Amino acid sequence: MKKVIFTLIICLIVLISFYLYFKPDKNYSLSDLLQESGKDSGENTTKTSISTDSNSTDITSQLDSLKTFIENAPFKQEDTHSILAQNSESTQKYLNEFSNFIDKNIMKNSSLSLDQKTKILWSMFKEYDWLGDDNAFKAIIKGNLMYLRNPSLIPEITKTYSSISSLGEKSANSRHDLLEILNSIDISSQNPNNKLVVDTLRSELRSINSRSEAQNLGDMVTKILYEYGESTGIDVIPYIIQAANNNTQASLSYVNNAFKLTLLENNSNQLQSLVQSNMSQSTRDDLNKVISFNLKEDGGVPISNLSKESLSIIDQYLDKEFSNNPKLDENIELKQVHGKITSALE
Amino acid sequence: MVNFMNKSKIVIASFFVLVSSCINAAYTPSTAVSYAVNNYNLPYSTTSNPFINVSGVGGNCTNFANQTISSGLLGITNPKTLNQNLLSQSAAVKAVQNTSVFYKCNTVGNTCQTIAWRGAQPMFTYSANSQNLQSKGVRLNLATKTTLVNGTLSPLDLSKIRVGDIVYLDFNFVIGASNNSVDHTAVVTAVNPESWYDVTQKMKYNNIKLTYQSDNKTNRGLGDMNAPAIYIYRPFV
Repeated sequence: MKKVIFTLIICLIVLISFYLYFKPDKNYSLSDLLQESGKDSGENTTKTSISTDSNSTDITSQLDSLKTFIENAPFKQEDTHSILAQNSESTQKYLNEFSNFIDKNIMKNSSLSLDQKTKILWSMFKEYDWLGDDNAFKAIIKGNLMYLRNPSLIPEITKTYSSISSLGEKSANSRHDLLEILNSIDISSQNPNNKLVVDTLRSELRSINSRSEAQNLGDMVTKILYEYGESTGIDVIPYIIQAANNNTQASLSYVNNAFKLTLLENNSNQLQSLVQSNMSQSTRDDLNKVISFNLKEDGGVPISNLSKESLSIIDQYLDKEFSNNPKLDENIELKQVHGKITSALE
Repeated sequence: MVNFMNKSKIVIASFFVLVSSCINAAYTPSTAVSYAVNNYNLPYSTTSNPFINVSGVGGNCTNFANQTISSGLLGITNPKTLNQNLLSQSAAVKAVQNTSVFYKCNTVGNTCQTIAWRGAQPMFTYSANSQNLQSKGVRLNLATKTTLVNGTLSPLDLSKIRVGDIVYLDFNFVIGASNNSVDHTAVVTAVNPESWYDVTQKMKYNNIKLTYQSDNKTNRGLGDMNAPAIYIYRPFV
């Protein structure tokens, strides 16, 4: 009898393990994430109704018509795919009609101001109860928000971003979407909200935990932070390196992007700031890996594209590294890169 | 008389060699990447991106990938300038285009642009056969692909992938089926180093970053695309 009970318990554990391993990831809409983050922080956050949030009849009616369009679809929104060709021809046709509807009634509607258009699409994007992890309707709304490139959306994006970033992996895709909308806005050095972006993304660098989160978000976060840092005159390199020192899983992504950004712009001041940063040994190891990976024979950055100033900074850094760390002599690839940089400077 | 004709032929041949050497087209991946990441989020309109919008006939993924390839071949990163150049059908444009992949006017139709310009599967077929082409124009080399070995698809050789490469994805590949076709085209816009922490195939694939249109996306990990069959090609002239 004991053997039977024991076997049953083992079977149950195995079944539960299988279920947990294979169960599909839950899909989180932005409104769900915002509600959850409100609960987590103990705030009394409730989902804002789109209609009451809007003070104009025009905006409310446009929002209603968008919702009706989605709800009248002859298929479930969660069954759609953001890449058009993955949908059936009839679904593609309906999605195309949805795009045309937005284009005609919102994007090209001369009675709506840029801010009103933005408010309609942002309200839909943020507050509609999106279902499915690859929702085509949501992707179309996001695409049009990107087309608007409205800088007045920056405070909304940063606020929403900050609210959901503590939720970690489950909010990563939504944060990627927010970064894409932010990335589409042209940076104006006069915009007082630029500092909001720098503050939000500095904090984001510290809050990214896992390697997969860093892979998903690290490139865009460091790129946008770097660009907004330039526009506000804030040197963001020390923040990036500090975040790398504190998180070995994210470090390689951060250092790789910071290094490539300084090289692509041949920004020798920022490159100098990077190599002179207060790096931990693991961050330094990552930087060495990044240098050899990008500057090797068939790497992503041709040495011939670099300015003499940039080459000289890397050369001096590597001179110091090889003299301080005898183990690096075994790193053939890095030695070859160092040799090529030295030759290019002669 | 025969001697004079031979001399004329030599002169004419020298002229063509001179013209073709002046054109000197090559694919520059950094230019292509710059085009992709800076323009993937622009709407199709005369003021921003004048190329024809084919979202109503399957999506813009291949249309945009071909704009990117042309950008890398002609050294132009602005969509309006690139469009004007292609429409002009100048000698430089003719040197990188051919009867199989061209773009001549801003309306949808086979005389304005080939189906390989607009569709993922026709462009994939063109890429796969382009090395055997006798005519001039852009060709694509296979860099790596998922290959059927003993009934399963082997993974990509990630070390072969470079920025500027063109990616074809088949989301519903069926082993043994004769009617498999690719569904989507994207551009490799970043290749990141592999970390100790990249323990799964998906994480390794996610070091390859894609930019594409259809759903307009940049910096999307190849692993997150969840495509079983993937083919990577590298343009050249």
